[in-house]
Amino acid sequence: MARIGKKGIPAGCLNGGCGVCKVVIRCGTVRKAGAMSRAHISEEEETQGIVLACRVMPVSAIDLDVIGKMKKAVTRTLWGGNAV
Amino acid sequence: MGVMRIGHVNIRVMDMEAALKHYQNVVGMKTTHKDAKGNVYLKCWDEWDKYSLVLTPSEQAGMNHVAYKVEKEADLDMLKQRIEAYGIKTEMLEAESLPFVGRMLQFVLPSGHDMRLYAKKECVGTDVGSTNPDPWPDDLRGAGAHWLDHVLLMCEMNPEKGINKVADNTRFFIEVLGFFQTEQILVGPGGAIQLASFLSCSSKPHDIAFVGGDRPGMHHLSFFLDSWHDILKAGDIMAKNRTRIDVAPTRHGVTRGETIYFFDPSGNRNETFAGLGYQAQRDKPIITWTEEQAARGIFYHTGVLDESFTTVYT
Repeated sequence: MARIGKKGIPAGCLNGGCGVCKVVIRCGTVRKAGAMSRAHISEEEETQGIVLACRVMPVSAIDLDVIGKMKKAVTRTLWGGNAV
Repeated sequence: MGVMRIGHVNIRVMDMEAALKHYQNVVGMKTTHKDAKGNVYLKCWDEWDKYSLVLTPSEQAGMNHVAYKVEKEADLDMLKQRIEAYGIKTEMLEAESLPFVGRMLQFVLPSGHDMRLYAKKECVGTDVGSTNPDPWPDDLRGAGAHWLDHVLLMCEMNPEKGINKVADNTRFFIEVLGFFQTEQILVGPGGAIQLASFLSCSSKPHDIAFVGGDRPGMHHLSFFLDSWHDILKAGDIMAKNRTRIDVAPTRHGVTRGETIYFFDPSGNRNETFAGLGYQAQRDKPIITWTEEQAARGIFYHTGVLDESFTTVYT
């Protein structure tokens, strides 16, 4: 799911560690496919359907909202990807 | 006197079996020890001390501590005094608090990272030995990394609140630990904000680096390779192993290093880094990258820096 950039889920390490692809599953079912860092997903969040998109596989049609994001750092020119 | 080089880094992994497969088959390290708590210790073929990487099983990714080796036992006592005089508390951990390591001086950097210094670690020799050695061993695996080269730590930066832990760490490393600065990235009005800092304690372009972000963490740990061709081969190895590559082979403007960034199976970023770039010396003028050329400094060919570079880290 994290690879579907068009859907607006940021793709980071894709290995459950960095947390940028955090989403909340509003409806539908997903299957956990690997460990998610507890630094980003607490046990309580996990029970509420808050997951890292890179670590789950959809098993039905799902509806989700993106929570994680790429954060702007100090300056837009430098970290906005458009510096020359 | 003082600090010689990076000694080891202790990182957290969420799947030990996958982590070992990665660090052994892709990076090319060998396991040298496992302890009762489940920690696994590894070294590269060209390193002579017992280990340079400690993997700790955990429910999260990231770095536990980074340790640098000092030349003499007496350096630990001298540095303990200097660090405390600077206003940072220290604790001298007894020998064997970490296997095969003598006493360790533990303290927390201005950026919040746990750092250790030690003078002794069991020497087991390189894989080619020290008598009439061959240039490389016959049983290289994966990228065949020579040694753990450096770490880049993300440090909190919030100019509006006057917080710049990059600058704070830089001052501490220069004034107290005896490092010298080789390069920096300056941003903001008049270049007043030190966004990134590269420091050496040897003749390498960097032995540690700091970059500003919104929270402390580990950006990457880096392993040394000989040449550009070794970088290409490392990329092949990563593709064969379906390793998640973050940045395909390219060159840094900063340090002139040739590089690949990739992620271990827990999302900890690794780098394979080739080329010693230039000889770093204490009297060499500090290289400065300005804000408009900063992305060129990081990725020299494209001059484009993705937002993920400073957002995605553990």
